[in-house]
Amino acid sequence: MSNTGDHASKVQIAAAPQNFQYGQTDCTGSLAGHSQCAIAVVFAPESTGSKTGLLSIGTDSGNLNATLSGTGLGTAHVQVLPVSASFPDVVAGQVSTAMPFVFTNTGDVAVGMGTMQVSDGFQLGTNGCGSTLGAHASCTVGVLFQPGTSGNKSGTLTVQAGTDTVQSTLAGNATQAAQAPVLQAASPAAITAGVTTTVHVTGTGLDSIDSMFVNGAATAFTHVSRTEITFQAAPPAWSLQPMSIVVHAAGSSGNSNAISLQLVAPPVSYDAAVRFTQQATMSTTPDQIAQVQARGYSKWIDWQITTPTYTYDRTGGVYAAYMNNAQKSGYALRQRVTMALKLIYTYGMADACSRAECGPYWEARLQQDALGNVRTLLYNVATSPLMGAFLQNANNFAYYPWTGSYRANANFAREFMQLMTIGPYKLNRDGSQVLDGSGQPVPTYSEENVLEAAGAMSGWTWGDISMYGQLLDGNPLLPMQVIESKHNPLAKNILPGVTLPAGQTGVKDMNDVVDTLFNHPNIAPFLCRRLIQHLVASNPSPAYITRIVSVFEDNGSGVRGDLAAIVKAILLDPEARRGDDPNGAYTQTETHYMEPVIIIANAASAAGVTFTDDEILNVTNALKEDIFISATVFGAYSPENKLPTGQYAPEVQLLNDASSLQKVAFVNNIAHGTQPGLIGDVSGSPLWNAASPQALVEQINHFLLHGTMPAALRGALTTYIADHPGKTANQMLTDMLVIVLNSSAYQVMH
Amino acid sequence: MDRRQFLKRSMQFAGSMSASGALGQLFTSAAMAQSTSSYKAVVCLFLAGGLDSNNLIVPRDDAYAKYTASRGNLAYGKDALLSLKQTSKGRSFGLHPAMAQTAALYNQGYAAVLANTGPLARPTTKNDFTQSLMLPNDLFSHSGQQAEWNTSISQGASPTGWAGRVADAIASTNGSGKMPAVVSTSGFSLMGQGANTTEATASDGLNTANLLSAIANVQSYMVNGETGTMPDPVQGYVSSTQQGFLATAKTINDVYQSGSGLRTMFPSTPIGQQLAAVAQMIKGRTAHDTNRQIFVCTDGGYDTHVNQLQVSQASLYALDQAISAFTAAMQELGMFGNVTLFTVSDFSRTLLQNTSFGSDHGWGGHHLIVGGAVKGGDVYGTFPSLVAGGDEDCSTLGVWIPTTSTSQYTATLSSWLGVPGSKLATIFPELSNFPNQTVGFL
Repeated sequence: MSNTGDHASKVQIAAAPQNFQYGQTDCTGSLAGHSQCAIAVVFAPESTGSKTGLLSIGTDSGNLNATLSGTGLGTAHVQVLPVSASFPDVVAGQVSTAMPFVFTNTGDVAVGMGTMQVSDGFQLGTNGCGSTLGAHASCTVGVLFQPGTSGNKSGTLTVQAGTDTVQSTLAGNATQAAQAPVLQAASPAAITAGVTTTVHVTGTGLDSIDSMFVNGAATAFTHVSRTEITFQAAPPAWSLQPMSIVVHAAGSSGNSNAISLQLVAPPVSYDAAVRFTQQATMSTTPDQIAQVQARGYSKWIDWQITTPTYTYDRTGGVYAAYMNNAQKSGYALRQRVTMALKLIYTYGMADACSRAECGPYWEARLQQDALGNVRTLLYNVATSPLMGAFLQNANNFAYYPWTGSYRANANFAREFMQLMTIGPYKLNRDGSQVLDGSGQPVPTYSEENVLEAAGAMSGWTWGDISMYGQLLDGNPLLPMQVIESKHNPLAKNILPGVTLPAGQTGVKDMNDVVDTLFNHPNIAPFLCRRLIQHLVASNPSPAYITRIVSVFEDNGSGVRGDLAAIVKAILLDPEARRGDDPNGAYTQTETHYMEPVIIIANAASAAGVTFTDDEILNVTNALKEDIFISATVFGAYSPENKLPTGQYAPEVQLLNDASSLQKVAFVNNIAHGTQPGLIGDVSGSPLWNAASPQALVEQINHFLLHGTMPAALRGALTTYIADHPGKTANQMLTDMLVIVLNSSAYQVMH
Repeated sequence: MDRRQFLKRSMQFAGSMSASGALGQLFTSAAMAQSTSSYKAVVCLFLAGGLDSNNLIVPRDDAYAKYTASRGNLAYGKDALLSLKQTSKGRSFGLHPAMAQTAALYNQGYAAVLANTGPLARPTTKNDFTQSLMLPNDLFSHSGQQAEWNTSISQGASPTGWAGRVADAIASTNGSGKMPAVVSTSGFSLMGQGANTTEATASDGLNTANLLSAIANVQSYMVNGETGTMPDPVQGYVSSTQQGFLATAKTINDVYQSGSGLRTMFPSTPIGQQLAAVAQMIKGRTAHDTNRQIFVCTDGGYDTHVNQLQVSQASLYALDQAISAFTAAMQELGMFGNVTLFTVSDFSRTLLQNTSFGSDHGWGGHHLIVGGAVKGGDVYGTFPSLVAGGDEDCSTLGVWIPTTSTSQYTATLSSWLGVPGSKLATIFPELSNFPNQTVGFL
C-alpha cells in the first residue's frame, strides 16, 4: 500500500474474509506520506472450489479494496478393494482363476501409479491400471494364486499411488498335487458291437477323475472307488475297431494313458450280415441280421433248412401273411428260394382253377420242396392239380376223337421241358450253349419228342377222381391221379434216344419222364444259373456256375439234386461272398436288381410297418410281380433279359415307366404309413431315435447299404440335413427312407 | 453308364439326324413347330376278355339264317340290329343294338369293320389246325392271346410289342423324343415296349400329378443322390432309367395339363375317361414335337361266359358313347382326319352258346376302325360264313380260324402312321407269310 500524498493517513485493516487469513503486516495504525506498507494474505480455503473475498483497508481518503480469489483444491487418495483376499484352494503347481482387485482414486486429482507387485506364490494377471489413475477413476488388476509348493501362503499386492502405498493382503492354501490316474484294465476285455455293456475300468487315482473319453468322445461314467469306475459301452453294431478309453483327473493338465476295449468278432460282421440278408432272406430286419451274425452263414443256412414250412392254405389274409413272414427270421431262406422257383415253376391263373386261393396253394406246394430234392420237386410239380389246371395237363386225355388219333395237348409237356427242366438247347456245365460245327446251338429235343412226352403224361385228372372233366374244386394239394383208360398206352420217344416201352402205366410213364429229365445233363446248369441269378448275381461267372453244377450232380454224399446243398453252395461261394470285404470294389458279376416284392418287403421292414390284409395284392399287381400268380407261364421276368449294353438283368424287365412310378409312389406311401393294408409308422422303424441326423445317415448307411453308401447319396442326405435345420432325426426319417429306398444304390444289390 | 451317357443314348437318333442334311432339316422343323397336318395318331381300344364279335356285326342277308341256327338264345332279331349300309361286295350287315353312334359313323363313311382277324403265323386251314402246323402259341388263353395281340407275333415270346417297334422305327422322324410316342392310359402293356423306346403311362390307377406333388419335397435329393459314376452297368441302367421315367411323367403331365379346356363332354365310364385323357393329350400336342403317336386304352368286361346279352349290352353301350365323344372331340380339335381309333381283343367267342347263356373262348374276331381317314362304310377281310363245324371252324362250336392276321391289321395302321413299307417286314416278322402286307381300310 503506497501513500502518494504528503500527509500521513490512517491505515485500518478490516477483518479477513472467509477462506483468507492475514499474516505479517507493517500496515499498522498510520502510514506516513510518501511511504509504503505491506500485508501478507494467505489463502486458506475451508472447502474445495472457487473462493473470493475482499481485502478492505480504511484510509483518510476512503476505503481501499482489493479482490482476493483462489480455488480450493482436494487431495489424491487411492484405495483398493478387497483389502484382503483369500483364494480357493489350489493344487501346488497349478494356478487359480484370476481374482479381481479394484483400485479407486477418490481424490480430485490424478495420481501416478507405480508398478504392481505381488508376493511369491501369486501372479499378476491382466493389469488394467496404467501409469496414472485419474481423479475418481478405477482400474482392475487380476491376481492369480500359483503356489509352487503346498501349504498356507500369504502375501500382498502392492502399488505406490502418488504418496500413498496401497496394499491388499493375499492368502491361499496350496493343496498337495493329485496323483495322476493310471488305467490298467477293462472288464470284460472284449464286448459285442451293437450291444450295451457295463464295463468296469480299473486303475489307480481314479477317485479324482472328472471326465472320460471313449474313442475321443466324452462319455458318462460312474465312480466306484479309487481304483474302479464303470461306464456303459454301446459301440454301433457295425463297429469293427477296438474302443480307446482315456480319463482325465481333476486338476490334471493331461489325460491318462489309453487302454483298449476289444470288440468280440462275431462270426459275421454287421455289414456282411446285412448284405447276406439281402441275398438269402425276403427283407433285412434287425433280427435277421442278429441271427446271421450270431450263427454264421453256414449254421444259419442249416437252421433255415430245418425250419418248418408255412402253409398258405387259407382263402383270406394269405397275402398279408406272406408279406409279414417276409419280415420274420424263421421262413426267410425257404421263402426266398421259393421266389426263385416260382419263376421257373410258374403258376398262372387258370380257367380250371379260378379260385383266388389257387395261387397261395401253389406257394405251399413249392415251399414244401424248396429245400428238398429236385427229383421230388419235379414229380410234385408234374402231378399237382394246380399245374394240371394251369397248363391243362389235368383231364388231358390221350385219345383225340376229332382226328381218331392219340394226340394229347402238349402244353404242359412243352413247358415242362422248355421252361422247367432242360431247356431247348444243349448246355455246357458252365451254363453256356453247346455249339455245333457251324456255331449253331444244338437242340435238346424235337417237336415230336414234346408230343410224345405229352402222351407219356396223359390221362391224369384231379386227386378226387370223381371230379374228372370238371373244374378243380377239391383240395388243390391233393396230387392228381391217372385214369389208365385215358392214358396213351403206346411206346413214346420222349427224348432223342429215350423211348418208353408200350403198355406202361400212367404213373410209371410219369416217373420215367421225370427221371429222364432229372438225369439229363442240362438240368444242372439250367437250374443252377437261375438260382444264382435270383439269389446273388445276374451275371455269374462260368466258373461259379460250374462249381454249383458240381454240387447239383453230387452233394458230397452221392446225392443228385439236393436243393439245400445247392442253395448253400450258391450262398457260400467265394464269388457270392467277395462283396463282404468292406474294402473290396464290387463288379457287375455281383449285382442284381431288387425285384418289386423284395423292395416292398424291405421298405415295410425299414419303415416299421406290417401288413393287415390282402390289399398288398394291388401293390404287387401294379408292380407286375404278383406274389403267388404269374401273368404268363414265362414268369414275372425272364432269366434271359438283357440290358442294352449286353449284361443279363432279369429283374430289370419289370422296370418300366408305369411300374417305376408306382414303385416310387408305394415306397413313398409305405414310408409315410399311408399305404392301405399296412399298419404302423416310422416310430416302429429300426432307424427310429437316432442320436442325431448325422447318426441317422450312418445308421441308414449300414442297415440299408451295408456301409457302401455312395458319396453322391451321402451328399444328398447331408444337403437335406442342412436344408432342414429345425428338424430332428426322427422328423427326417420318412424323407430319408423315400430318398434311399428309391435309390439305385439300394435297389441294385451288390 | 452314368446319367449323361443315358441322355446321350436317348438322343442318339436326334444326333445322327442333325448331322445329315435333309433329315436334319426335317428334325429342325419338327422340333421348332409342329404343323397340325403333320401330326398323326392311332388309338388302340383293347377290349380285354374276348369281345364276342359274332354279335358285334351280324349278317342281315341270307347268312342271317346260319347265325340264328347256331346262336340260340344269344341271337338278336334282324330288326333289333342297327342297319349298316351295303358293303362294296354287296353284303348287308347290322351292328349290335347298343352301338347307335358307331352305326351312324359307319353309315357316314367314318367307320369300317375288319372281319375275322386274329393271331396267325401264316394263312391257316382247318387241316393245318388239326395237324398243329405252325399254330399260334397259347390259343384260347387270355394271357397268351393278349400277348400275341400286343406283339403281333404269334409264335414265341417277344420282349417288344408292335407299337414299340413302330416307335423304334419312326423315332428318327419323331422329334426330340421327350414326349414318348406310345402312351398308355391303362398301365404298362407290352404293346408299347420297344427295343430302344419305352411306352409311357399317363395313368395307372395313380394320379401322376399327385405323385409328383407327393415327392416334390424330396425329388431334388433323389436326383442329386444319383449323380456320379455308377459302379456297374445294372446300377447305371436302373439309375438313369428311373430318373428318366420321373422326367417323362412330368412331361406327360405337362402336356396333359396344357391340353385342358376341351368343350366336348366325355362319359364318366372308365373307357370314356381314358379317351378323354387321350383327347386332352392330343390337344396338348403343340407342347411337344412328337408328331406320330400311339395311344393304348383298355376296357374290361368282355369275358362273357355268363349272361352275355346283358353284360355286352352295358359294355358296348359304354364303348359306343366313348367312341362318339372321342370323334366329336377330334372334330372340335380339327384332328378327325389325323387320328384313327381301332379295337383289338384277346379273341372272339364261340358262335354256339354255352349252358350259362354265355359263350366261350374263340379265335378270329371282327374289329372296328373309326376316324376321318378311314375308308369307312365297308367290311374288310373275309367275313366267315358262320357254319359251326365247317371248314372255317377249328372246332365244332363256331371258333373261326382267322383269315386276316393281327400282323396285317396292325401293319395297316402302322403304314398309315408313316412306317415305310420297307420296314414293315422287320417290325412284323410273320407278315411276309401273307400275300398282302396291308388291308385297305386306310
